[in-house]
Amino acid sequence: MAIITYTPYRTNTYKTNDVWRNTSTTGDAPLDQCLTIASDYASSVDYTAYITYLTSDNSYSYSSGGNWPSTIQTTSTIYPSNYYISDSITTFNYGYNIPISKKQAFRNKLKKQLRPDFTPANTDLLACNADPAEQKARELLRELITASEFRNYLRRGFITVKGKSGILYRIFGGYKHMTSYAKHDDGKYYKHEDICVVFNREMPMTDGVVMRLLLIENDEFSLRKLANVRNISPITTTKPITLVA
Amino acid sequence: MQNSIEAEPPITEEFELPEGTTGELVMKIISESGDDRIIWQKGFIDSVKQAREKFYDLLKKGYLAFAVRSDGKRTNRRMFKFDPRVEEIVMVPMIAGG
Repeated sequence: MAIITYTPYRTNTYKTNDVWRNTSTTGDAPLDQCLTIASDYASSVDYTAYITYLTSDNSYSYSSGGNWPSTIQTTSTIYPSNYYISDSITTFNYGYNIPISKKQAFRNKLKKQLRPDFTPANTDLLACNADPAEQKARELLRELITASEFRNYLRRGFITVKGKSGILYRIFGGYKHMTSYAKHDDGKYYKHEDICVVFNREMPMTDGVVMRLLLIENDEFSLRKLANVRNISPITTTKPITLVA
Repeated sequence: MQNSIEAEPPITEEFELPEGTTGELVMKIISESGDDRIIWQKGFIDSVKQAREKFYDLLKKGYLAFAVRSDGKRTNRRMFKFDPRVEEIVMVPMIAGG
């Protein structure tokens, strides 16, 4: 599907006659005009129109067809009457469907499976992809963990390691703190503490993961002695957790 | 410490290599440029001496030393004395609570 995207020039409350920036070649347009075109498209089988907007819990959502979110329909529901646009609207898209061949559909399916599903958790890691020192650090980490663990690290930006004490640690790179998870009586792991230990000087991001991994596996006691431990939650278990040096 | 090496083996004699090693043993020093490597071999006493010297020099500077197996399997060993038979040593720079 070809998508035409409009984005606001400013981040305040928008008015209907505000011009929105068009990322395609068709030129900028006021939002009410965008909505008019989109609503026309939405009534056709071959077209899809939707608005992307922020919800109250800060997650992105979208509304398609003529069912625009209530934030832009306060004054009237009669098309194309005036719309009140709140700053929760982040982008506005409309597009038209182009039929794709079976071959292309298969290619797209394969591509989707091959491409790692990047999540916001590893945006910091992605940002330093081009750094040769970071690449060397990743090679070192790859030698210390299994292939699947390493794949997960590249995808999510963290690894999970179990210490001798039985506590699970979620390790991030750089200056991010680790999170520990303790096993409760119901057999599930629950968040226990935030643990922060860092290098004394600037180092590649993944070297931070290597350092924490080695400390947890080889000298968990020293790690906890050196680190700052915060946000400690109680553990409800009958078995005491013992730290082994 | 429980897992530390108790006695440092003499390096003037031939030492037994761990099973599966090709003859090259390596010390990886984590640094700003990723990691620097010092390699030594059985029979090359000078390279072993050089590695040992570097090892103690870094320990003095506050580095932490860990024994690692080249196949990635856990050794659960933090090192306080140099052992030329260890397949891989990873030297981690000084750390602090954040």
